[in-house]
Formats: sequence, structure tokens, C-alpha cells
Amino acid sequence: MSDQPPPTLAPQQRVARLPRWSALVAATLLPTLAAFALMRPPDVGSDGPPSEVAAAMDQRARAGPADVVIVGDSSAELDLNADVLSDALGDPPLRTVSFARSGGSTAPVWYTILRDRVYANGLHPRLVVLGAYLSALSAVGLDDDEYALLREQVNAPDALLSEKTWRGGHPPAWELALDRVKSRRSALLTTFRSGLVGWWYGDGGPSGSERVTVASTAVFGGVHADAQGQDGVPGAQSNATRAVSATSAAKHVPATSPAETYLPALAAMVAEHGGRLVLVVPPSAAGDDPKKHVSAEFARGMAQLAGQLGVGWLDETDRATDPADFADSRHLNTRGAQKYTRAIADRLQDIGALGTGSLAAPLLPPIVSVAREGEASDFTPTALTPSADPCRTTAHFPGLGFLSDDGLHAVTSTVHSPLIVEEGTAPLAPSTDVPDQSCWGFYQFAGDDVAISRQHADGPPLRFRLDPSLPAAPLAIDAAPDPTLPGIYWVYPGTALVWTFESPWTPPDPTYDVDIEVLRVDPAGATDDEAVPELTIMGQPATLLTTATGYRAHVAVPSTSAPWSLRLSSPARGHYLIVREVTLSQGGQRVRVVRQPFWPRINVVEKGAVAFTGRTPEPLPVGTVYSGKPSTMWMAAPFPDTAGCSQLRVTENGHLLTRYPRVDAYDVFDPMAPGNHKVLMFPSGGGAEHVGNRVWVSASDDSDAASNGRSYQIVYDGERKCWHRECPFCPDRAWADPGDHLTLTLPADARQPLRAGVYGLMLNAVWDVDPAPDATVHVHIEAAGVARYDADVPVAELNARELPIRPPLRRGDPGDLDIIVDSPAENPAILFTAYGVQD
Amino acid sequence: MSFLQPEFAGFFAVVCAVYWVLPAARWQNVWLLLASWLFYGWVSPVLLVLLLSVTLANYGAARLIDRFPARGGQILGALTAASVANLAVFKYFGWFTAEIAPKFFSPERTAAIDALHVVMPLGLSFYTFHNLSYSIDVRRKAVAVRTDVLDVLLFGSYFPQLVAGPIERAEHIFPQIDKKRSFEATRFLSGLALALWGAFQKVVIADTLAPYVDLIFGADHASWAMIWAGTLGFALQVLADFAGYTAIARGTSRMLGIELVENFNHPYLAATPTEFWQRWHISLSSWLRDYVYFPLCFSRSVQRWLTIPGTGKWRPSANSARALLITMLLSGLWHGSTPKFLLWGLYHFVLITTYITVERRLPKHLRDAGGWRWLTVPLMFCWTLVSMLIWREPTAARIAEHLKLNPFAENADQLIVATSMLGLCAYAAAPLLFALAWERWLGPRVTHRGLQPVAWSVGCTAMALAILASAQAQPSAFVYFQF
Repeated sequence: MSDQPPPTLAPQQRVARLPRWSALVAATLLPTLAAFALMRPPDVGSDGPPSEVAAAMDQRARAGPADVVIVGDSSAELDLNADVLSDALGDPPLRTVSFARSGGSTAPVWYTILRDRVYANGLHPRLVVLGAYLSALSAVGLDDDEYALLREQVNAPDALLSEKTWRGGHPPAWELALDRVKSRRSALLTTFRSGLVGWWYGDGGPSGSERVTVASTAVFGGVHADAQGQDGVPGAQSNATRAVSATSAAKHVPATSPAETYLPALAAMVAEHGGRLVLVVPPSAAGDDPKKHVSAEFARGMAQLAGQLGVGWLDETDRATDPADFADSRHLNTRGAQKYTRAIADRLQDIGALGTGSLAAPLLPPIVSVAREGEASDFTPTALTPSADPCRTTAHFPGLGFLSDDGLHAVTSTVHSPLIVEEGTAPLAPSTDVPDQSCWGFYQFAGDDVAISRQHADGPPLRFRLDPSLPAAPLAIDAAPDPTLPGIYWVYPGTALVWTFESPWTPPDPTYDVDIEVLRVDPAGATDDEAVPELTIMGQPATLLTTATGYRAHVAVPSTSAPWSLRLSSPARGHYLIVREVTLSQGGQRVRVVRQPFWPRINVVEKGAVAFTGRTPEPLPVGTVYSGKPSTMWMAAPFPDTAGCSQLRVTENGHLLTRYPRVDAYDVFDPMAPGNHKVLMFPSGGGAEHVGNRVWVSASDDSDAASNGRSYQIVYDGERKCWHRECPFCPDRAWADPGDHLTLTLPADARQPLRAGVYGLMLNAVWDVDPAPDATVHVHIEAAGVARYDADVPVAELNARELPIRPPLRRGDPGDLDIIVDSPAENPAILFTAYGVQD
Repeated sequence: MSFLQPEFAGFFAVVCAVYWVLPAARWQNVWLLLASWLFYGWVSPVLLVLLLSVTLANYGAARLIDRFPARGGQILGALTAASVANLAVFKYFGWFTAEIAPKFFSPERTAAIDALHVVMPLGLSFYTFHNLSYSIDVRRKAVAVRTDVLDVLLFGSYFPQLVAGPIERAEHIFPQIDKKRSFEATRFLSGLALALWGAFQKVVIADTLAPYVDLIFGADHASWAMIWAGTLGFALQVLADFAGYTAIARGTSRMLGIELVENFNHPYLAATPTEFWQRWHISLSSWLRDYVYFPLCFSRSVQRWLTIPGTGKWRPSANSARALLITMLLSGLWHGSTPKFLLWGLYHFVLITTYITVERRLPKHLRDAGGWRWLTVPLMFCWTLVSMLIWREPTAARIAEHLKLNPFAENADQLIVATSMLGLCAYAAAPLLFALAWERWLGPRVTHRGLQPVAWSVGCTAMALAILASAQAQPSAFVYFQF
């Protein structure tokens, strides 16, 4: 590679040279030897010793009896934490061992693992939890990298494997060589990326690569290089296997019917050894729906087959998840896995997985068709406002704002719009921009308004219609078979929408619950008295409750295998309705049969805050965990909380019930409740908590908010920002309200990762209202009864000043470090988000 | 066509196979010219029209300059203006329609202009300068005018260096294409090894770093440590990317028996700003030095323009500073059309002039002492990182935002990400350091012991395997293609 000639050495420095022929031989011999080494056939297979992976599994199996065994692919290995499951399933804990295999393993592999690693080693677990996507369960014939995973397990294929899957032979040599080279490159890259981090944190706790993955997710969100399945992500499909599969000719062969899958064989094997099998289909980050990889019909068939075979069925694909819990688009990170595993443990107990009775059968999604009664009508704005520009006008439709949602707006404005705007009979085009000073023939959504640029300044009157087209009769779970063209289920004034459900299988329990959520748009002339829609289910009227953005209903219906209908109608001078969601649930299982891909937004009509009234005097459902208070009211929230943050505030008779909800995180799988839960559970002087689509309200005098005659309002604060910063070994974030005496604690065991100890502390804080230039907080820091810091700190310098800890709290010193912050009443609310520790 | 596309291997194999059996220099030149046109016109034959126009314009201008020497300056001036205007139209069209046109034209006219969809042709910056150097050298009588259009066409279109340099000079190329190139196995294999090394730098180093660098600079809340670790990664990425391309270009050209100039000489080992520009993108910096800086400094007509008003005197140091400023700003403009590239050029100007000013004031014994490289090289590298930050950031506002980051306001996650990035930089730097050690110490000893064939086979095999292991399904474009 260099152009420079070699240096000339003095005669006495000359050394012996290789003869030219030997140099040429060595030059050709070395690459040949390398090729042979890389292309050698794999050691494992029908005539070889167990692979390293198989041997490790054997060792794990022989370590002791197991009550619960986990098998599956990377979703099982990463999402289901064996230790957490052990603790959560019972007292005393049940021993759980994971035999999950990452890297794209499929049903034949799990079958072989159960046969050769679990049962062959004498394990007889009570429960086998199979964590996998349906697409992997449907695999019978494998592609080359999937086949490689099978070969690392199998010693002798039985009749089933031989018939369905076993190919014999070896992959092409060059593919083996490429696979090996890529594996080594991947390992080398991981070592460089994660080695220093792992060395710094020392032994114990997550590995270096796990820490890098968690940190990357926290910093970059769900999208980062590791999300692409690149090197360094434990368990994700490696570049090696993906690269080989990209070049291999063999393709994954799916089963054409549920009976052809390995599920019957798996169920039979588990039952033969006295255990129960439960299938858990994992959640995924938004946008990646693994169900799309199998047809809805196949999915339904698998659920039915599982019910017939007595296999438990936990379909978690629709489970709401915090994006921060994911390491990539499919796998949970360490924290997310812990939360998810606890939730799965609860679900397993719900369906009786560890009992002796029969398992709760899966709730199968019904076949759904929908029809309209009546004719679509024109959509009349409440106001049509001209402008000085003769081409421009603005139409106002109260409640239409949700159509301006980012996700839907992009679709409606550039691909398809559910709103048809015509000038006479000539349609105008939806657009992302409506420029001035010319007649363009465009229209654009802007909140509840539609900005229109006519085609002709003096053209015929404008006419507004809603697109009457319905999607094709859906057999899939989602409302619209084509995700780029969402069909919106409009119910026009004077019309009705009729859903027909056909369940060829009788649901196992006598009743199941139907939940329906409806949004409304107010046209001109509608008044609340005349606008109440009617809902009938199975021919019986059902009560619709009013929410801030529409209506909802929760109805228990008797289980039936005969077709039944759900009819929603709007009176002639009523609202325009959109059916947003219809869900069927039974015994803790839930099937969502209609889902519209957008969330409703509030119409913010004035900057800063706008009040809208939504008071739903609903007592708590029976069986809640709350106790100690007579009742707590909830109101429908206009939009869900955002994983630990809420822009909603509550007033009681016009007075703020709470300044900002506190954050009091607790460890469940649902999104963190951005509010102080203790406010609801105990007498507390009033407060609110925003959880999902509800705002729970506790009255200021702990009276019954539903019947104390006071007016409660949800107020939207558009000025408030939500912050999501975390520190892995620091306490959760906390607010210091004006006048607060706040104590934050750094526990002693959280100081384990530190090498020397706490020599300095940096508090990271944010606030939404700028403090006065001379605003201060008093910070007192102590540990083990010894004061370490005590001074006033200017609020403006909180993020920049390191607080010296003297004497320092060394790594081995006992005691928690208490950071006590006193914030005077004239300060704004301050949110402490993270701590930096000077080690 | 790109060097890393699979089609290039087949293309080059055919070119080589025919090239080395051709009996005479002229046949070889014709074959290379046809291959160059096929290489450049692979994506769109329309691009060839522009390339031919530029090359023929320079050929014609050089003939005219030679025929009418008294008007040589005017002819060269017209050619230069036309070349620069041509380059400016393509290079800055996007910036013009996005930033300037809306301020002066109606939306309809702006939309109509934008609808022209003028796209920067690949390599235009490079072959514009490359061809212009021929005409300038003819005017300066540094090289004799070529009456054979084939020679000039080949000089202007030679495919290994056409798209991203190195920017060659006529005096270096013409002597090589004038005589028949004979096949030599050692040189051929040396070229193959050099090309492999270039592909290694691009695929194994640059493409591995790129997504992680992009993530860091795309993050909303990057910390100080992350940004500087990312900048280090970008510095390694752009060096490996560009030096890799140059190595492939030089290697393939060597396999055809034609040597191209070296474009990179371990630039991060520079101890001073001036030394940096003697090591980084050598062909461009020498072009700017010879055709922009020196004329600005020493041209009498330019001196008149730069004369200090009222005194009738021109001051060498002030003029050289002004010339340097114009040169560095032009260098920035060559790299991009946004204000941040002017800032980048200005930064280098400030760095160089500060160094010169300080260096002149040092005592002579310190100035001449060579033993301070252990300090000056890392220091210069830090200044280089700042320039890389300016280059990498999308806007001047982001540059300012990231320069103001507090180095102590890190949380543990950000530190881990920064540390991971540093580990990746070590992964990328290791082969570069090995290459340096090979060049300076190990290689000569291996060669001296007659082990070169062994080293060659081990090295090429290892590089080939590493390239296969790291190759993405869709290879990313070379960074300098955007210029």
C-alpha cells in the first residue's frame, strides 16, 4: 500500500530471505487454508456432538427441577424475565428456566428444544410458556439460517421433523464461510462498543452491551442503530443470519393451515409430560404489527385450535406500551421486560395456568361486516367566513379538529380526504398548503377550520360532503384493510351504521363485554337535546355515556354463536359520529374489532389554557384496588397521558385542584400514572391523576366528587412541556412545588456502580415558568446523620453548578444520601429530572 | 457507476483484459476513453454531454491561447468565468430556489424555476477544476498545448479520478499516456492491494461509523461528550471515506499502468494548520494554492487591486492574508453552498493566520525545534475536530448550540453512549494505525526479508473477508460525491 521504497540496510544488517518459490507457496497456501477453515462443514448435526448452545441448555436443565419453562424466540428470551416470573407466579417462588433461543428460531427448534433439552434431561415443568409471534409458530419448512438454528439442537430427527422440516445435508460452503466471518466481525464490533462500558461498571448487573442498548434507547428513543438489529443487541437477529438469509435461495415455508403447524405436537408433548402449554404473543412498538405477517383468518384458526387443544392463549399485540420500554422495534429493554413479565404473570394466573382446572379458552375475534342505513347527507359548516381575498374562505366545523391530527392529516391532505369539498360539482383538491393571492382550487385542514381557495372567485356555492365509501367487509381485526387509506366509519345525521358479528364458535363464558367509543362532530343546527345517538346491541337499547369528545358505552351481552348486530344511529338533526373503537372482552381477554388510527385532539381556542366541561359522575368500578375513600370520580380525558406526563389540570368550582399532577411512578406494565396515586387512595385534600383516557379526581375535602354538587373541569395547559430524562441509578424525578419541602433519596445500593463514591452532585432541573433572576432553593444534603452540603442555590444555576459533597460519601459507606430541597413560595414549580454524581 | 457496485468489477475486468492486449499507446488511450464514457454515462448518458462540453471547451480554449498568446489572458478569463458559472448554476441551484427565489419572485415563478429540477452532476466540481488546470497550464506554458483532441478528452474524462479526484495536472498525466503501458505483475498486484485497501476503508471503517455518527448528530438532546465523540467518529469516517475512494482510484489506475497523485498523507498527524493542508486533500489544496492563492498574492494586476488606498503600496503580509482568506472561502464554497461552509473556510483561515502570526513571534530556537510534535500533533488534531464539527452540523445555529454545551451536564446514559462511540472510533482507528505502522516500520522490514508475497496474500485475504463481512445490502454513497 505504500509507494515508498524499502529502506536500504547496511550489509551487516541483511537477513536471510525466503527463497522465492517458498514465498509464493506460502502466499497461496495461506488463503487456501483460510478458505478451508471457514468453509468446513458444521460440527453439529445427526452425527456430531451437541453445539455450544445445546450443551449450555443441557447444563441449565440439569441444574435442578423447574416449575416453569420458557421457550420461544428472541421475544421470549428478551421480553420474559425468568427471575421476575419466578417471583411473580407464587409464594414461594416457582423456579423458572428459560430455554428461549434468539436469532430467529421457529417452531421446529422449540419442538426440538423441548424434546431434547427439557424432557430428555428429566425436567417435568408444570407450565411451558411459549413466547413467539404467530409467523414463527407457522414456520414448518425453514430457510437456511433458521435451519442452522435447528441443526445446532437436533441429534436425531424424529418422524415429525423428518416429515415436515428436516432437509439433511449442509448449507453451501460459501454461505457457511460468510456466516462465520460476519459472526466474528459482529463479536469484534460488540467488544469495541461495549467493552469499555462493561469494564467500567464491573461485574454484576447488566452486561456492557445491555447497558449500551438501554442507554441508546434512552437517548435516541426507539430508533437507533441497535433498532436495526445491528451488532451489539443481545438476542436480536445478527447481521450474520440476516445476511445469509438474504443470499440463500431457500425460503421459509409457512404452514397453510393451523393443523399443519407444530402447535398440536407441542401441545401433545407438554400434555404427555403432565404440563400445560400457554402461548404468549408479545407486544411490539407502534407501527410494527406482527399480526400482519399472518392472515387474520390464520390467526383466528390458530386461536381456535389452541382452544381445542387446551393451550392457553395470551395475545399481547394490542397491549399499550411505553416506547421507552423497547430496545428496538420488537424487543423490550430490561426495564420493559420486568414490567411486562409481571403483567404476564398476572394474566397467567387469570387464565388458571397453574391450576388444575381447564385453561380459559381464547376469545376468538368474530367476523365482522358493516352496512349503512340511510343516505349520506351534506356536511354543513357552522360558519363560512369569507376574506378580503375573493378566492379564499374558511369553513368552521366544531369538533372536526381531530381530522387535523398529524398522522391522519398527512393521509387526508395528500392521498385521500374523508371531506369532499366541491365548488358546484367540481371537486377541490386537499393540500398541505393554501397560498394566497390566487384561486388554486385547494383546501386544507386547520384544526376545526378548513381553509379553502376556490377555483373561481365568483364560482358556484361550495358544498361539503363526507366520503360515503366504506371499506370492504373486513375479516381482519383492524377497521381498514388498507392502512394507507383508512376507512372512517361515519354515521351521518339521520343514518345508522350496523355492525354484524359472526362467531362460529361460542365464546366460553356466558357473557362478554362490548365497549364502544364514538367521536362526534357538531354540524350547524344540532343541539344537545336532539342530538343523542341511539345504540342497540342484539336488538336491545344500550346506554351511551357522554364524554368530552363523544360517547362511550360498556355493555355486557350474552355469548352466542348466532350472528348479532350492533346498531348506532344519529338523529336527523344530530351529530356526525365516528366509531373509533369497538372491543369485545371476556375473562381478562380482549379482542379489538374496530380501531381507527387517530386520537382526538382538543380544540384549543385560546392560547395558554382552554376549559371544556366533561363531568361524568361515574362511581369506581367494582373490584378496584383503591380503598380508604368513599369514592373517587373519573372523567374522560380528551387524550391519553403521555407516559409519565400530562398537560391536564383540574379545577373544582373554578379553583385549581392541583397545580400539576405529581409523578409517582409504580411498577406496572401500563403507562406510568402521571399523578399522585396516593391522592386518590387516601384522604389528601384533593388532587387529580391522569391515567390513560381518564382523569381521576379527588375532591378537596375528600367528599364524594360525584355527588357533592361542585363543578369539576379539566383544563388543558398547552404551555406545559413534558420531560422524560432518566438516570439509571438515580431516584425517579419529582416536582418541588412552591413552598415545598422535597426529599430526594439516593439509596445506598444505587451507589454500587460508583467506583469511588459521591464527591459531588449535579441536580438537573427544569421548569415551565421562568423563575425570578434571584430565585433560590435551599439544598441540604446529608447521609448517615452527617451533613454534607447546606446552602442556597440559585435556581438559574441548578443545572450548571456542581454541589460538593464534603465529607464525601465513599462507596462502602453505609446509609442513603438524602437531598432535601426547600423551594420558597414565590418560586415556580421545579421538576428535578436527574442527578449527576461526581465519582 | 460507483467503485463499490458489483457491476464495476465486471466492467473493470473487461477493461483490463482488453487494455493489456492492445498493441499501442493510442489504442490503449482510445479504449480508456471509451471505458471512461461508459463509466460516467452508466446512469445517464445526458451527463456525458456536460462532461464533453467542459472538456472540449478547455481543449478549444487551450488551442486559442496557444494561437493568440496576446489574448491568452482574455480567453482564459472567459473560460474561467464560463466554467465557474456553469459550476455555480448546478451547485447552488437548490440553495437559490430554496432561499433566494422566494424573496424576489412570485410563488408561481419560484415553482416554475423549481420544476426545472436542476441536479448537480456527479463529479462536476472535480472535473471542472481538473480540466481548467490544463488551460491555465497552457497559458503559463507549464505544459505544451495538445493538438490531438483524444489526449485532452482522455485527460478530462479518465474514469478512475473523474468523479471524486484526485484532481490531476496535465504535466503529470500526459507523459504517462504518451507511451504504451506494459503489464507488470508487481505493479498490477500493488494496484489491486491499494484498491482493496481503499474499499476496506470505505466499507469496513466509514460505513460502520456512519449510522452511529448520524444518530448522535440527529439526537435532540446530545451531550457534550456525545457530540465530541461523534465528531471524532465523523473525522475518522470522512477520512476513511475520502481516502478510501482515492485509494481505489489510485489502485485501479495503477492496475492500468497510470499513476495518480497521492491525495492524503496522514492528515491527522499534522502538527500545524499549514501542514494539515499539505496532507489533506492535497490535490485540491495544491490546485487552490497554484491557481488562486499565488496569483492573488503575486499578480501585478491583482496587486493593483489590493493596493492600500492612498499609499500606492501593497503590503505582502496583508495581501497574502487577503489572498488566503479568499482562497479558504473559495475552498468552503467548493465544498458546499450553505453559509456554514463559508464559516468552515473562515475557521481555517483564522487558524492558519493565527498560527503564522504566533509562529513568527516565537524565538528561533523554538521555531526550528522539531521535538514538540508530541504536543503539537494532538493540539492540531483538536483544532481539526472543531472544523469537522462545523462541517458535520447541518446549520450554523446547531454549531453554536453544540459548542455551548456544558461538559458537566451529562447523565449516565449519555456518557455510556459517548463511551460506546469512542469504542467504535477505536475499532475504526485500529486499521488506520496499523496501516501507518506498516508504512513506516513493518512494511519495509517485511519487504526486505522477501516476505512481501506472503504479506500481500495475508493482507488482501484479510481485507477481502473484512469487506465481505461488513458490506451492507445497499452501499452508501461516498461523502465527497455530494461535492
